[in-house]
Amino acid sequence: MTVTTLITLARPKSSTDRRRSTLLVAAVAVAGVFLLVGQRIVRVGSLDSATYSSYLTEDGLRPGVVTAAVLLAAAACALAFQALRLGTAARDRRLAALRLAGATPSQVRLIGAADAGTSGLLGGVLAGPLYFAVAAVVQSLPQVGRVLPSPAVGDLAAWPVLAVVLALVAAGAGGLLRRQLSTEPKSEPDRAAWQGRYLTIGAVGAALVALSLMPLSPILIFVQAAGVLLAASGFAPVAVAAYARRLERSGDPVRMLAGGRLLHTSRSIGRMLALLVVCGGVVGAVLAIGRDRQLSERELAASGDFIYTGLGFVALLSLFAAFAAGVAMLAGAADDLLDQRSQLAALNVFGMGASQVLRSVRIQLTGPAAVAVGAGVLIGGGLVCSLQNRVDPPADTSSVVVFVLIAAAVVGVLAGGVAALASGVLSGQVRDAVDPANLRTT
Amino acid sequence: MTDALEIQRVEYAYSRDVALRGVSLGVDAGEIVAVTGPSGCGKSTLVHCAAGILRPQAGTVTLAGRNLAELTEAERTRVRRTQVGIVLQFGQLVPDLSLKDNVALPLLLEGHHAAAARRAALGWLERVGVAEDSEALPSELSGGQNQRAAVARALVTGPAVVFADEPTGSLDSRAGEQMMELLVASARDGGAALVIVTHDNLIAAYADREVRLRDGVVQHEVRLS
Amino acid sequence: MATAELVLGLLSAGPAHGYDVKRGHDSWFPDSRPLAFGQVYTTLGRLERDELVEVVDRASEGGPERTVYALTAKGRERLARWLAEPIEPAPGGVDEMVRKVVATIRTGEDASAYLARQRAIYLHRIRELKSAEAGGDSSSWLVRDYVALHLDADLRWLDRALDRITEQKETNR
Repeated sequence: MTVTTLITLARPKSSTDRRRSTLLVAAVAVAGVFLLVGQRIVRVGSLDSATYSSYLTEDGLRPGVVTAAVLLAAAACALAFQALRLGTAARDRRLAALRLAGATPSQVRLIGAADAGTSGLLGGVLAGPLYFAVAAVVQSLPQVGRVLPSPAVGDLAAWPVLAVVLALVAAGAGGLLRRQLSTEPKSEPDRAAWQGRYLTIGAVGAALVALSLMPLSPILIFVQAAGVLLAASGFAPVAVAAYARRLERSGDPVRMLAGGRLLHTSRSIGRMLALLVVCGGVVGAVLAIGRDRQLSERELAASGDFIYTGLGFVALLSLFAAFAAGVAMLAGAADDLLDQRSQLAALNVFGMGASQVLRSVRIQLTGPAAVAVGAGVLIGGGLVCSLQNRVDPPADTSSVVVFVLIAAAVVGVLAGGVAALASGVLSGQVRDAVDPANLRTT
Repeated sequence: MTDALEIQRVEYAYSRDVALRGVSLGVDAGEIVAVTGPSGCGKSTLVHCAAGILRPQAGTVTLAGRNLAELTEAERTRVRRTQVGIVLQFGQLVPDLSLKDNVALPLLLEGHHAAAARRAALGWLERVGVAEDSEALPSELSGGQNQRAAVARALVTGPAVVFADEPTGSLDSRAGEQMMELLVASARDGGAALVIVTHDNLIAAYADREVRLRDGVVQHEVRLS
Repeated sequence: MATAELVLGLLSAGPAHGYDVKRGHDSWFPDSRPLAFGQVYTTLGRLERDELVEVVDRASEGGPERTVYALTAKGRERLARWLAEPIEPAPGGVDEMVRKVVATIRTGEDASAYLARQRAIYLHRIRELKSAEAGGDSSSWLVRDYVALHLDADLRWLDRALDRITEQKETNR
C-alpha cells in the first residue's frame, strides 16, 4: 500500500465523518493547549508576586495548577477518544468492504492509525496559536487572575514536540480501536458480564474514598479524587444499565426506546457521566468551601480575593470538562440516530414521529446528566464537610450540610435543564432520521 | 365487499423525477395484491402513498373508509397506526429492544396497557413461530427470524391493510417462500388485505391479483385466483 | 423419454413386478401423466432382451400371472451411467412462446397485452403449484419447483424481450 493510497483511504468520506474529525481535531487542540500551559508552569522559575496570581508565585500551590491543567487535558482527551469511536456502524461496513477487497488486518489498523494520526497532528498544530492567544488573554487579566506566565521561547520548541506526540498517541488509539473491528466477528458477548467488572472498579474507588475519610488517614486529597473518579467510572455504567432496564419495562414506548438505547450504550454514556460526577464534585466542593468561608468574616477579609479567584477558576474549568462530556454525549446520540435511521423511519409509520423520538433522546440525556451532576455535588460537598469536621471537630457544619443538599438538588436540576435544552440541537438529525426516504436504506 | 384501500389517479414526484403519473388501484378487504414491475417503476412510492407515509401531490387515497387527504397529520398518524401494517426488506426492528417489545410497540403507541400489549405481542410471536426468542435482540437472530417478528409487528394492531415492500429481498429462496406462506397465512388470520411489492414472479404468484407498474403508470392488471 | 432407465431406477430398490413398477413411477411423479401398463411390459420385455433385467420369479396364485423382475449387474451399471451423464441443453428458439412473440411483433400486434395474458396464465399456474406443495409425496415438490422455476424463467424472458422492444421503439422514434 503506497502512502497516497493510505491517505486516500483514511480521509473522511461523508459529512458525518467530517463532523467527527472536526470534533476530534478540536478536542486534541484543546488538550494540547492545556498541556502547553502545564509545561510552561512547570518550567517557570521565580515570578514577581506583584504581577502574577499567588497560585503561580507560591511554590506550594503551583503543582495544584499543573494538576488542574493535566486533568483538563485528560477531559479533552476523553472527548477526543469519544470522537474517535463515533460512526462505528458506518465504519464497520466500510472496513468490512476493505477486508473483502483484500486489506490485511494490519493494513486496516494502519488506515485507522493514519486517520486518527492526521487529526491528532492537525489538533497539535492548532494548539500552538491557541495557546499563545490564551496566554495573551490571561496577561490582560488583573493580577489575581494571572494564573499563566507570559509565553517563553521554550514554548516554541515544546509546540512541535507536542504536536508530534499528540499525533502519535492519536494514531495509536486509532489503530487500537480498529483492531477490535478488524478481527474476526466475535460471538455476541454476554450482556451482563461486564457489570461485575465495573462494580469491582467502583468498589475499589469507594474503598479509597472510605479510607481517606478515616481519622488520621494517610491518604491524600489526590487519592481521594482518584477514588471518586474510580467509583464514578465503575458505578455509573451499572446505574445507567439499571435505569435503562427500568425505562424498558415501563410500557411507555418513548421511554422504552430511550431505555433500549441507554442499555446498549451504558458503558460509553457511563464514562461521560463519571466525568460529570467529577465535575459536579468539584462544583460541590467549591460551593461547600465558599459557604464555609462565608462564616468567618475575618479570614475573608484577609484573603478573599485569593480564595474566590481560585474557586472561580476551578468552577470554570469543571464547567469546561462538563461541556466536553456533554458534547461527547450529544455526538454519540446524533451518531445513533444516523445508524438507526431506517428503523426509526419504520417506527414513524407506526406513529412514532420526530417529536416522540426527540423526547426519547431527551429522556436518555436529561435524567442521567441531572443525577450524575447532583450526585457529584453531593459527594464533593460531603467530602469537604467531612474534612472540615475532621480539621475542626467542634465546629458546627450542619448548616453547610443543608446547604450542600440544597445545592445538589438545584445544580442537578439545572444540569438536567441544560441537557434538555441541548438535546434540542438534535431536532434536525431526528427529522432526518424519521424521513420515509430512509425506509429504503439498509 | 367493502374496499380496504382505494387509490385514485395518484401522482407523486420527487424533487428530481416523477415516480407516479396517475395510478388507480382498489384493494378489497382480505384481498392479496402483488404490485410488480421493474426497479424504479414507482412500486415503493405507490405503497408509501397508500400507507399515508407520503402525501401524493394529486389524486386521493382512501384507507379503511377514510380519505387521507382530508385528515390532519395527527389523524393520519392514527389511521396509519391502527389500519396499516408494514413489513420491509430488512425487518427494520429497533435493534435495542427485544422481539417482544418490538412487536408490542405499535400497541403501546396506541395507548394499550403494557401487560396487555406484551401479551398480545407474545401471542403473535407464537403464531409466526419465534415465541421462544421473544426476549432476544434482533441482532442475536437470523434475518428470517427478524422478518417473522416484523410480520407479527405489522399484524398486532389488527390493521385493514398490510404492506410488504420486498419482504423476501434479504432472504434466500426457500426462506423467502416460508416467509411468504407465513405472511399470507398471517394476513388471512388477521383479516387484513395484503399488498406485496416485489419484482420476483415467484413471490407475485402468492397474490390473488397482479398490478404491474411501468414508468409510473399501471401497465396491466390481471387476476390470478 | 428415458422410460427404460427410469424403470431400471424403479427396480434398484429390489425385485418387483410390473404393477409395482407402474405404481412406483406414478408416486415419483404425481403431477405427470401416469405410466401405461402396456408401456411398462414392453419396456420390461426389451430390458430383459438386452440382459439389463432378469426374471426372478413367476408366481400365479389363483390370479393373473405375475412376473417378478430384478436388475442384473449390467442393468445396474447402465443405470449408474445414465444417472452420471449430464443432459445436453435443449436447442433454443423452438419454443412456441418465442414463436408467438416474434409473430406478435412482426404482425404489429400489441405485445404488452400479450404479456399481460401470458403473465396471468403463468402466475396462476405457479400459484397452483405452490398451493399443492403442502402434503403429497416427499419428492413431488422437486417436480413442482422445476416447473415453477421454468415458468418464472419464461416470464423473465418475456419481460426482457418487451423491455428491449420498447427501447427500440423509443430510439427509432
